[in-house]
Amino acid sequence: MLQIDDLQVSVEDRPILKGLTLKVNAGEVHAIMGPNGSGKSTLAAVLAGREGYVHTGGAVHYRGQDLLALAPEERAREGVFLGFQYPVEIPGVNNVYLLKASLNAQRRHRGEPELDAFEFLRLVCEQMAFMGIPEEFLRRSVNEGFSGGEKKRNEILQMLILQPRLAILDEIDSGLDIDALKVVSRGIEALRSPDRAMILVTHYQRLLDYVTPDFVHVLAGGRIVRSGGKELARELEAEGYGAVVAGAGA
Amino acid sequence: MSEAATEAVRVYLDAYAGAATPIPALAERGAVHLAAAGLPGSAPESWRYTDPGELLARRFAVDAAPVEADDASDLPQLAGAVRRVWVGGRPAPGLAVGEMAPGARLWALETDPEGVGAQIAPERDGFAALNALGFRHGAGLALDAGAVLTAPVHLLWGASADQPAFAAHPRVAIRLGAQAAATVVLHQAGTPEAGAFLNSAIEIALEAGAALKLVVVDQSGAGAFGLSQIAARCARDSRLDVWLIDAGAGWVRRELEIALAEPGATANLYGLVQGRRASRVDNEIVIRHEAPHTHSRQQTRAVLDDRARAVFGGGVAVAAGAQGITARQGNATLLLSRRAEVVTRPALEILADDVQCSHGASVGQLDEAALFYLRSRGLDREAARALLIASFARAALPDVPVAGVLDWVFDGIETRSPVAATA
Repeated sequence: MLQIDDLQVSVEDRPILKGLTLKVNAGEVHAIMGPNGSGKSTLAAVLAGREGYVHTGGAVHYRGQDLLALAPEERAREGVFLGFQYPVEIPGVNNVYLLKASLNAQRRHRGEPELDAFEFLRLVCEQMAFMGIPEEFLRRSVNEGFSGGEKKRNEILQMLILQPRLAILDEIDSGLDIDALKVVSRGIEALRSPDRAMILVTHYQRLLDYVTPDFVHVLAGGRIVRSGGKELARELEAEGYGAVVAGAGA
Repeated sequence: MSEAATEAVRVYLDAYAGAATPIPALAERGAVHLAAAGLPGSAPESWRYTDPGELLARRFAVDAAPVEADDASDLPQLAGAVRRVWVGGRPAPGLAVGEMAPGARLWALETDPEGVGAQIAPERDGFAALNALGFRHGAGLALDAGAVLTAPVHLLWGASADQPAFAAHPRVAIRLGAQAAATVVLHQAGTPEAGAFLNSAIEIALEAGAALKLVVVDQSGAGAFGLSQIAARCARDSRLDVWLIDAGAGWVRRELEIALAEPGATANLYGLVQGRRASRVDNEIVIRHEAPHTHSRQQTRAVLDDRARAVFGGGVAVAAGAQGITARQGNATLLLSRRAEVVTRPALEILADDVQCSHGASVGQLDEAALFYLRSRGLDREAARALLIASFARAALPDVPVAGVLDWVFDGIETRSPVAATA
């Protein structure tokens, strides 16, 4: 699904990712953990195509294509989804309007007919009920005036409707209380399937109590310094990043 | 006065003086004042950012030839509205739709011009004088006390693309009796390739408790010069809501003066300027709080691309003794190009002490983070830009009473919920 080889990325001439290698297969859930400033969010942003990140070396292949050569919208239509750490408020653009425009952009790209308003509404209402999102959401602008938890739920709702092949969730657990964390986790679990892959970028082990990853990677200094199974998250929790990173010789 | 202005005055005087006119006395005063004051013939400060030179250098046919109604049949329509149309400044009765309900009268102003000029006198400035001199056709709308119009009145000044350049000086008089209510759309759309100059004077009087929703839309296009003077007087507890909407106007100068003459009168003004290429749009607004407990709000926005410029002169004058008033002004501008420009000039003159006045202005660019967010959801760059621009612009025009107007303005770009329409 995703093959990252020796990826090097700079921001304003400062190297952030310094040779990152990672392989993600369909059906797998990977957690990328690491201390602040290790390059976790940079990785998420680069995979989604945000501007301002300079690719200085290495390669990223997504389903056989050079991912970095695609515009952000092309990546989205090819099934890459980024769940934002800080979802953007867009006053005046209605939530549901954006959902519909996104879904139809994807469907057009795949040569599928657009959903009519009725089918679309049914789909949205179903997923909203699943995510515990109140009906008034239908009338509000994108993320405008939402609490932190509401914004994150909205990201997951978008993900459930867009049904991406590769979902990258950047600190989706930050700022969530325990109830919201459970709902968000349920949404993530619902999307898990043999033909999809997910990358959970997170600072804390907490999310992994609810979503069990197949692999856990520790990112430090712009490289993956250790990889393991879900037990690695426990070790990080118990011993802290310092010990684990030092133990890896980074 | 510049040489171009002197020459323009001479040309207009030659063209109009002595011709048949509906109100000879008004035309005579216009001629006298035009000769004396020249053009623009008013406070230079308010003209500082809008150069009338290009307008004064142009020559227009002063009496446009009649146009077959069929040639103008593609002019915009508003579903359900009572419609009157002027093409090239001349009435086009073949394009009229609907009749007035009992208690209301809509007539060709030139046939019964009584009271015209009471609020916008020829002596106001050079363009008012020119209007008085060149006035031939216009509209009168009067509502009896208590009359409430359910259908909007759509007054449309259009042109056919292939007619010669023309000048016209329409007048509109709107008079609402006590407790009467109406919605009026004043609309300019379509311009001959050769250009046009529309120099309008609009006089509005609201009696006690009356309510007027006035939507002013300019879609006249790049070759048009539009100058309008709008004066409104609002009596006790009356309410005037105005939406000034520029969508693809070329050169616009609008002077709007609202007198809140008696206690309880309220004026709300919303404005949107969408400037492209070298468009120039200048809204000079003055709200006079002449009585205590009067309230006004001016909320304007501009979206400017290329070399477009917008000017917002926002004047608030509070008379001595006009206590307990509120006056709010705000402008927000989105600049899409480095060469686009906005000028905001709040001007407050306050002679009372128990007042609440505020003004604010902000200028910004498109939000890159929002753009990336939309693109990451599969919208291409242009669609994402258009969506952000339209959402900014839409917020400038809350509660527009005639929804069809927004379709003209936003070229079908939708930002609202697709659910609202089906649910």
